[in-house]
Amino acid sequence: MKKASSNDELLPLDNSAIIYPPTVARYNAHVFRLSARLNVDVDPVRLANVAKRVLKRFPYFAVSLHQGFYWYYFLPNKKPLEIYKDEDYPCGYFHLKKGANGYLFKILYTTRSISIEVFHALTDGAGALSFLKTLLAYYFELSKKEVGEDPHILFVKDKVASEEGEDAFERFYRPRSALFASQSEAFHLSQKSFYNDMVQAISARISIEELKRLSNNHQVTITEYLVALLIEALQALQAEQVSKERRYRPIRVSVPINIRRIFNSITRRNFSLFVAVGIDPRLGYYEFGEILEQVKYQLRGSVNEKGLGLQIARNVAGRRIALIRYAPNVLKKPFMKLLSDFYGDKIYSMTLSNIGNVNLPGSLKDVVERLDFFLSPNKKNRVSCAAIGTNGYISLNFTSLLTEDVSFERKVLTALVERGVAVEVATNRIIEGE
Amino acid sequence: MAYCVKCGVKLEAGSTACVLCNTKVLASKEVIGKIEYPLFVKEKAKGKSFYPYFDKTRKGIIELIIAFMVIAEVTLAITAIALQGAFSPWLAMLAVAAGGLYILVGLTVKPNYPKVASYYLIITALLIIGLSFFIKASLWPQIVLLSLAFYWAVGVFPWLLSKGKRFWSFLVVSFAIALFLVLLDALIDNYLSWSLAIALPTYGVIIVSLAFSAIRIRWGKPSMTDIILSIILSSCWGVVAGDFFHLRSIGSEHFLTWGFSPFIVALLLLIILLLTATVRKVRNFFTTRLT
Repeated sequence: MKKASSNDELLPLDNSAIIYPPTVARYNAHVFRLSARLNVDVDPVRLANVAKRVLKRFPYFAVSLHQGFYWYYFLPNKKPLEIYKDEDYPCGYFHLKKGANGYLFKILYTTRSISIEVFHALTDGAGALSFLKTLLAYYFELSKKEVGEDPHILFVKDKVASEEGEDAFERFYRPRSALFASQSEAFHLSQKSFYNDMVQAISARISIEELKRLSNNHQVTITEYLVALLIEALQALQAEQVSKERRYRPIRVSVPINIRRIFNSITRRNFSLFVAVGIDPRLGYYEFGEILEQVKYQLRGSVNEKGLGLQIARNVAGRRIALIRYAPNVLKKPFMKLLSDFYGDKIYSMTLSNIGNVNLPGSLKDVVERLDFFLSPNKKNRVSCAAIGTNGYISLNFTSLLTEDVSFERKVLTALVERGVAVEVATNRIIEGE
Repeated sequence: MAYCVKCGVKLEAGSTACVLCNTKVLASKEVIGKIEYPLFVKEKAKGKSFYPYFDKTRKGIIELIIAFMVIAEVTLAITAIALQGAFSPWLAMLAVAAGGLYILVGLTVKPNYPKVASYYLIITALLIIGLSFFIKASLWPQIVLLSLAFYWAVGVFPWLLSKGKRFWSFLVVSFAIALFLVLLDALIDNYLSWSLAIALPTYGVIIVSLAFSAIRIRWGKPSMTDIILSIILSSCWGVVAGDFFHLRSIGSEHFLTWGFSPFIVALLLLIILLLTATVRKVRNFFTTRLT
């Protein structure tokens, strides 16, 4: 810690963020990207000025990460906020001290897009979406009247509510018992394929209407339908990649849930929890309908105040135990690295994060062509999936560390095509035939 | 914009192949289209891809061991300070450091025998040097250090040389054994007693015998029986030479005492080997003439 006086400005990490700084690594970047594709050219000078203004409305984002004796913590970052030309791979590892002038997020631009890449310790997808929408609203000079009741967009002149920067996990914590339950290791895709740290993305654009039609046929939500599609593809790939049935592992997809609406919170920091949804192919082959049933039952069974409250209790209680609380950070760091494997990466086959359909206010609808959302994959879960919808289309984005293997993406997308859904793909991969 | 005929997906304008199956698009330029602002930047990465040596889990284990080492060292130091000289922490601290380093070498050094063995030998040598300070013994630490150096020369160094340099490794190993015997003698007795009179001549006999066997193995076509007999023969010569030089060093009138039986065995084996070789030569001579 720099000075005693700086203790007043010290901002502790929220309860779900504490796992990210000790476990960040080249192949475990914990970075996600939100991107807005525009139909007008971006003016970088204007964007830089607007970004500085907007950041004042998000003081809890204007921080840098520091390592204390007991915990990591945030301190206000006085360095200038810079914007960067988007010319590298999405969701790559960035140095937390030097990568973005000490900030834990990067504002990136191309001729026709504005993106933010965020280190997950700072906020989650919903918090970042609020920042991006505010940035766009200011960039296109939207008035309060035009914005209307959009809960994501904040105005610089409005006072910063204390709840916006709070650790909502602490507020909604209720002590519960039966905290930790371990799970067996899940199936992981293509562990023998070549990989590197240059994140390869495949973006699929699908009509929300068509996807709704399909999911309505089965009386499930779009998220549930997408999760089932991923599980179906994983099941098929496990059958191809694992020779003996007795070596099959459960297939689990981790689905982050934005719990702000459930707990009525307006925090812009992390306030989402993960629900693991899956099947166990050791019990036999699951038809798509059966997978959908499982997903529906498991997801709906977990997303309720009591179930999520238990997870909050698990997050918060761990931090409150004196032995953990007062253990030096040098001890906590390695433990967290190991625990993140046992309670995180190992037990999930992959992650699907769906931000949902994003409503854009007023004239933003006319200038923003599409939104995209990307998650960084990691060494264990080498393919990640993220979805976001706007203007009648959903962007289903796969990010992968695998250099050549796109069998998973192909299985998922062709399954949609076979069900009569038009899928438009784009990629940053250098394709062999090109 | 074109569609992939195999996957059925619609491709981004300008794409000439499918991203999912690499199938080439066989359509006109008008159908493929042109994209002014692609969704992704397709430039090659600025730097090379980077593969860190330690993954997250291994890094965690390494950090954990270092943390425990530091905590143990600090605890020992504090205990010693608190007990005001009643407890000497140095030995325990040394043991903790050595133990930690042994584990860390296994986790950090690439699994390469000469490298790992060299590091382990260095740590052991440092541990012995440290121990010798506390125990105030002089002889056995020196012997152990000498033995470690000897092991490195005999058991590690040959693996550092390439396959084409086997002769050099044989020379180094032979010289190291001789040097070890001399130095061991010098350390134990403070002067050269048994090494020059008994050990080195005996060793010389074994080397010569083994060299003959090696020459046979290299240029002949020895059977497994030949190799085993050669080894037994060299061992017998060694025992005989040991007895012989020992008797000379004590001024005995006897030619051999307990080495007599191995001497007979060695002679018999030598005769058998010579006979076998001769019979083979003769048989070869006639068989080649006949055919």
